[in-house]
Amino acid sequence: MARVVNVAIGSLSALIGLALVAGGVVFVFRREVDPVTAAMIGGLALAVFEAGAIVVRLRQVRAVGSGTFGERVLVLAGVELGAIGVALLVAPASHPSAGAVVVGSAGLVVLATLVGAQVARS
Amino acid sequence: MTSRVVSPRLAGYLTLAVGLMAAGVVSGRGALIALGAPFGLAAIVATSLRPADAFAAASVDRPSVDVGDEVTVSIDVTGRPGQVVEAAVVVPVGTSAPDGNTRRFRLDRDGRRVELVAIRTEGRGASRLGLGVIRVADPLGLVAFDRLIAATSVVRVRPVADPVRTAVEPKRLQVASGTHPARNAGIGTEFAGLRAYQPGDRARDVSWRASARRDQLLVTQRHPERGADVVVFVDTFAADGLEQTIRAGLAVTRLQLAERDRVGLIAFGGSIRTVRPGSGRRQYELIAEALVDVKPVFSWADKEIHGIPPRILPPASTILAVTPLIDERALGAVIDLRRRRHEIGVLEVSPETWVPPPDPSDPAAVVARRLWSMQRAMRRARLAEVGVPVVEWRDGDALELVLRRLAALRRGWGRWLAS
Repeated sequence: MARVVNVAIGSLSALIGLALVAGGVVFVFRREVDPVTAAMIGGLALAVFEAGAIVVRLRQVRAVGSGTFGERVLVLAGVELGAIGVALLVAPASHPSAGAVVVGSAGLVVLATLVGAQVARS
Repeated sequence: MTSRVVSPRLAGYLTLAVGLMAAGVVSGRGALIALGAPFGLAAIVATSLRPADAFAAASVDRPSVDVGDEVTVSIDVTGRPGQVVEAAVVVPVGTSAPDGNTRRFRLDRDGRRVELVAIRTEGRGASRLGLGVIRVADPLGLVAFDRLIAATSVVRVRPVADPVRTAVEPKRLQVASGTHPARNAGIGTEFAGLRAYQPGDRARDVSWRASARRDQLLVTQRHPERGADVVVFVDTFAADGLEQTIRAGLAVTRLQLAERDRVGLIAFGGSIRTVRPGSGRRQYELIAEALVDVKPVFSWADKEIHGIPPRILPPASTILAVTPLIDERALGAVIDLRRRRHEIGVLEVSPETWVPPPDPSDPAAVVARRLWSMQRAMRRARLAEVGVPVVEWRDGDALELVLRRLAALRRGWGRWLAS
């Protein structure tokens, strides 16, 4: 049963992440979104993938030590910020749109959820 | 041995990053490159922050425990200071890990950490504890290294004796002191009778009250307390009911040792295991340890009591056989022991408990069950013919009550011993 739940969680996060990537590609071609927004969408998709992996791992390794998953979340946030930096390098003249703010906020919500899960475990 | 484990996510991230960046270059849209950038960065971080190797060894706090006790497995991990390590130990059959068998922790500043995993024993036998693996991974968990835990320990889980109070009262005693009053008179505590004073009698044995009444010096005679040799015969031919059999055998062992008897063991089955009679706490440990490894071994060999060394079966020893009376060879051994004039009683671990009742609508099954019951009754009758009392012990009955029934039956043993 636990294995089925883990597979379900992993599959769900993978599907949502891939949907975000596909949606990002569609946005790029149809709406001409700026690279910062695209990087944030990519970062959000990565966060969703990682969220699924972290939750599954939390279920597998039930006796969790304190503070170890926080490091993983911090690395993830660093990756997201780095991606935005890459985006700014690719298109230095572009400006964050309102969509970028929305997507970035969603990414932060996902990260906050992961941190919350870690705090609750530790 | 170290093995590298790469998460399938890493391949997925690389595919997405390369695909999106290629699409961006081909289409000339920088946004696609930005879309794939997080995945590319994650893959770079994962491959650049390679985890350092770590080593682990396991040890247990006790090499031998009773069923139901907990063993603490210590996993000593050394590696890079601050490194995050996951450890998982194997929970063998017959044990459980109440707090889980996995740990995730960070190594201390000296690059070392000892984690404790409690393992609860639930069944008799020898278990190898400490087997497992430690895993060190990069911060995103995309690349990891698994290493087997180096040292492991074998823990022997001993059976637990049922609580009983009614000891076997052997009729034939040895010369060693014990707690059973002998029939003859001598130095002891239990009153045996009075006789006229004779030169050489101790003054402290003079019964002054009786002497005053009879107007002659009388001395009190007492029964000396002697020890006995008790051999516990455990039938290990059948797998069903074996645990019940072993628990009963160990219970009798403990009680008779407390009575200061010498107790030995014969585990009689496909393989024969014996413990020479002895006394004291050490003897209990020896017998409990011997019972740890007892298991039913299938064999067509004609097992007989002739193969038992004489030192295991001292003359005039009392034997308590715990058997389900299923295997003809065990029955033959008990009869053979009786014919060698050993005092013997049989505690029959009833197989009725684990054999389901027949389907009333199936006449063949009903007849088969009746035949089986008749066969068992016939075996009991064969034992009765040679003077061996048998009491049936159904699972759920208190062993104490069964031993009391056996003690009541044994009051007639003297008749058979004289025959």
